[in-house]
Amino acid sequence: MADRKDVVQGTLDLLVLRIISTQPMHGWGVMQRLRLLTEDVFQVTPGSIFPALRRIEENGWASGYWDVSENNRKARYYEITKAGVKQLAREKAHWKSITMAVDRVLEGA
Amino acid sequence: MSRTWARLGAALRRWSDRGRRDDELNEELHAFVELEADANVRAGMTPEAARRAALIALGGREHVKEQVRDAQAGARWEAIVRDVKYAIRSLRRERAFSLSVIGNLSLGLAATIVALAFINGALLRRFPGVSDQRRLVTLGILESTPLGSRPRAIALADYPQVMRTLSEGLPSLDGLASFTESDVAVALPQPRSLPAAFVSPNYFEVLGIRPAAGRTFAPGEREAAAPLAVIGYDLWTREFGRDRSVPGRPIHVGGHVFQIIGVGPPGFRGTTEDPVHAGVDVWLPIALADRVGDPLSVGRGGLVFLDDRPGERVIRYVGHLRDRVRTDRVETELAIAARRTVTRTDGRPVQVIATVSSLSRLNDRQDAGQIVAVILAIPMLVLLIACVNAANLFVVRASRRGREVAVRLALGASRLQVVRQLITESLVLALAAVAAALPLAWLGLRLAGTLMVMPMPIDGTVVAGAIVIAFVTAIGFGLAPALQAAGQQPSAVLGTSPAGSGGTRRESRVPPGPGRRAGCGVARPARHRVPADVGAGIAGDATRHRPSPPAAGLVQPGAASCLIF
Repeated sequence: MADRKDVVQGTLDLLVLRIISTQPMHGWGVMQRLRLLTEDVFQVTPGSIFPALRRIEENGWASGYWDVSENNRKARYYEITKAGVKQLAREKAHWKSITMAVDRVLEGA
Repeated sequence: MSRTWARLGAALRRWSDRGRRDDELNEELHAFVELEADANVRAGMTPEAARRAALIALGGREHVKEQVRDAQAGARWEAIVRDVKYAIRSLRRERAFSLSVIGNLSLGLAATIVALAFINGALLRRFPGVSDQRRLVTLGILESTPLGSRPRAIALADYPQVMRTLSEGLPSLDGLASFTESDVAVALPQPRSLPAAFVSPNYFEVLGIRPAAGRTFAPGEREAAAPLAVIGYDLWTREFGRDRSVPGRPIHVGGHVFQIIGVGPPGFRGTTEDPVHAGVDVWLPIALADRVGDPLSVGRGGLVFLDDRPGERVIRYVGHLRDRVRTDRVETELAIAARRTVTRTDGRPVQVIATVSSLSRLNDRQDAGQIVAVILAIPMLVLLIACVNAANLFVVRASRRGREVAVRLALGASRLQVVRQLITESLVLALAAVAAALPLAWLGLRLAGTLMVMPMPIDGTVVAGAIVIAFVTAIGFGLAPALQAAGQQPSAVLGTSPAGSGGTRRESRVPPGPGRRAGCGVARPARHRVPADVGAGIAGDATRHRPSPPAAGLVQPGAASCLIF
């Protein structure tokens, strides 16, 4: 059986927010980008991406709109908002503090 | 904070444009499949294979939608509303069952509501018209005798001195009123005996009572012995038809002419009103107690002792606590002050006991507990029987509903969801039973009202109590059948039924094994019988298709072969 590791709650939201912070993107694009950036280390499914996008939008961190994709498909794009940029900075700092703390323990122990 | 508002706004928006957001999600998922299929074609697949692979990658449209719904704002409330709607629908389908459960329960609940109304009316209800009852205390001065302790009686001549001593000795109070009760003969115009209270001039002020008409006694010496009377609202209604010109009219009490100056607030019948004592109809100045009061009535609620001396009365005291003062401090002060009031020189040593308790219909809490236990015992027994009956009906129904529950489990509902749904059904039934029981209880109380003068309103306290009891009842009769229904193996139920949708028993049996977990094994047989397009979503090992917390959206590379939500 695969060794499954729970990722800290909210991490997926952080990653999605980071991805749409560079340019507006649709659900499929976010998924591909995430796979690409993590070099397939993390596999993300629509069952987690779409809820994350919905959560981010409802929290006011992104706004959604319909547009036509590069290969002429209608898709819903998500664009980061000002509140989203702030949230991203906060989450990033939080994540860094956690990983640094864990690192310190791992290195120092 | 802004996030909370954003989520609240999103939930409200979604609620207001019901359906539009769902349609959008459908389109969004459709776009996902198209984009994925395009990518697959670019990678060299045939269009059909590309589309099929894209559907598999989506992982089941309905499932993704469910995940999104769970993640969105107000999901929990929506789930509750959905459960309640579903419960009402399925209960309406089985009218005979629902009505018999409601009928059963409502009888038990009606009996309980009557008992609650009685307890509330007798013990809990605040005295009507009295403001700030929390800060009012009853001060008791008892004397111990060889036969036990009893309220101390004093001569009215001693009263002003006693009152002064107490007022000075109780700095924790910012108001001290006194009264003594006695029946009086009132001409209306026929002579009638009415319960009366002779009160200190500040009595209404200390209790914070505003008259319904006219005025109350003015605190101070000037009116202390004037022949003035305040009548009760009930008497005003009964005898004077709520005539607003009554204040100012004369009234004959004990052969003397008094002037009515005001009417008490609705429902107020003094602070000694309890299930046994009806309460007061007329209030008169305490200085006139000997002149117009029944000479045989000592103010002990009809009790007369052999060694009561003529002319002595039991005076009762009500105090208003200063801010942030506790009753035990008043008790200490009263113990000292009460000893100082012993001025009699009849050669008999008097041992006084001081008690202070918050103003309520029942001063002894132990008594209250016993009364509640006795009054509630029988209705609770009736309710228990109703509960057992309801549980029986539920068990019978559960066996009939086995297939429905099995289908829900097979389609991916968790056991918790099924139990929650079934419990919701019993809660809905219990609430319906409360609604049916309230008019029944009201009728019962009307009947009891012909025998008892005490008001027993079905007020907020009683309704809240009834709802709490109904909820406990619902859990009581609903939990066991719900757990039993959710505990079944859908494979067994669906597989053996001739009306089952396809699979034979052998096919659909879940193979036992260490890897099988509750809630995931049940989804496995579903693979055989769900339509192809849904089946496309359930790729790989169905065991891994458990809904997992939203955070667990990422997996390690080793698990790349399976789809994780």
